[in-house]
Amino acid sequence: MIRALLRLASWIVPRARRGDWLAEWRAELFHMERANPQRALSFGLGAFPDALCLRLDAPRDPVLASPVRCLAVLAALAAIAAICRPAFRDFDADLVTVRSHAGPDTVTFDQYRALATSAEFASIAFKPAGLNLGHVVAKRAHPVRRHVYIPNRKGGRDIFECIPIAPRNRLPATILMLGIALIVLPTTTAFAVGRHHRGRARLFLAAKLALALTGVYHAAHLLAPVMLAYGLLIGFILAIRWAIDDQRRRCPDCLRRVTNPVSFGCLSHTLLDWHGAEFVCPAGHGMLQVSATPASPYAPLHWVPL
Amino acid sequence: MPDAAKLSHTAALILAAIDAGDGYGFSVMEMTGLPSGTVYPALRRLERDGLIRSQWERQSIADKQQRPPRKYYRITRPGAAALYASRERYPLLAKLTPQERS
Repeated sequence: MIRALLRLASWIVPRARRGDWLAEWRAELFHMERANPQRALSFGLGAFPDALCLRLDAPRDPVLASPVRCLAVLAALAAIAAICRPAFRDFDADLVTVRSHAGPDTVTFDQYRALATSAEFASIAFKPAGLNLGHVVAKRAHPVRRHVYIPNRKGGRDIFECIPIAPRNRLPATILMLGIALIVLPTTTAFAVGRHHRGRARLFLAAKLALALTGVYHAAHLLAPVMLAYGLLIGFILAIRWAIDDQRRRCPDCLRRVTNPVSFGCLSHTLLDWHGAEFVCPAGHGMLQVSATPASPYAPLHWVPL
Repeated sequence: MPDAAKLSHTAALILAAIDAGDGYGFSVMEMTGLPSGTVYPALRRLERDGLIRSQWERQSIADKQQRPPRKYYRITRPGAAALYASRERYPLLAKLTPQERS
C-alpha cells in the first residue's frame, strides 16, 4: 500500500526527476520498514509534500505558451461553458409574464382569478405588489398568441399580453453585441498584430478568436437573462483584445509565446535611451522589444529576427 | 569570509545532521526527529541552493548488503559556511545533533 502511495505521489513530481525521486523514496522506505515498520505509513505520506515541493520548484512552461496547447485550452473552456449552459440558463420556453395590455405591468387580483380559470395557462402564480395588485407569471398550456382575451364582469373582454421570460432567438442580440464590440475595440487597442501575416499565423489567430468568442457566447448565457447583453459585450471586447494581444506576444515563425523578459534602460533616461523589456522566442527565432513608455497605445511592438 | 546563506532553524538542523551523520534522508530523520514530509523537501531546497549535493551509492555496495542503493547527501563548501554561521546564530544547534554531544 505504501508503495502504491509512493507511485501516486510520483505523478506529482516533474517527469524528468520522477525516476530518481521514486528510487530514492523506495530505498528509504526499505530501510524504514526494517527499522520501524509502525512508522512506515506516516513516512510514506511524507512523499506528498516532497513531491509537491519538487513540482512547485520546477520551472513551468506557461499553459498557453504552445499554440496547440493554447487552442486545446480554449476549446476545453468553450466546451465546459457549452456543457454548463443548459444547467444554468433557459427558463422554460413556455414561461411568460402576464400583464394588462397597454397598461401597467401588474394585474388586479380579480383579473388574476379570471386568468387562473382560463384554459390558456397550465399553471399560474400571483405575486402581490400592492393593494389588490400583483405580478403574474404563468406557464402556457400550449403555444398561444401574444395577446390573451379574458371575459370580464362587465361583459366585455380584458386584453392581456404574454411576454416570454426567456428570449427566443439570441442570435440577433449576439451579432449586435459583436458589432458594438468591434466598434468599441479600436478605442482600447490596435488591431495590428505585427509580423503575423503568414497563413499559419492568421489561421491560428482565426481559430483562437473563434474559440474565445464561442466560449464567451456560452459563458454569457450562464448569467441572468437581463445581464446577457452586457455579458456578451464585455466578454467579446475582452476576448478579442486578449486574442490580439496574445498574438503580438508570439513568435511569428513558431507561434510560441516569447519568454524570459529582460529589462533595458531606466525610466529616468527615457529621453536619451530606449527603456523597456526584451523577450526571446524559446526556439531562438527572434526577440520582441516592448517599450515601457510607448509613444501611443497603438504603437506596434518591434520584432528583431535572429 | 563571504556572506553565508541565512538558514531557518530547521534547515540548519538538517544541515548539521548531514554534516554529522551518515548523510542519507532516513538518518537525518532519525537524528533530528523531524518527519519525512519536512526532511525531504528541505533536502531538495538545500541541494537547489547548492548547500549540499547528492550522490547515489554504487550498486555493487548495495548489492553486497542486499538492499537498494541509497542516495547520500554531502555538505558543500557554501553549505559548511552557512552551517558555521548558523551555529553562531543558533547556539543550541550543537546540542540537538547527538553525534556532536560527545
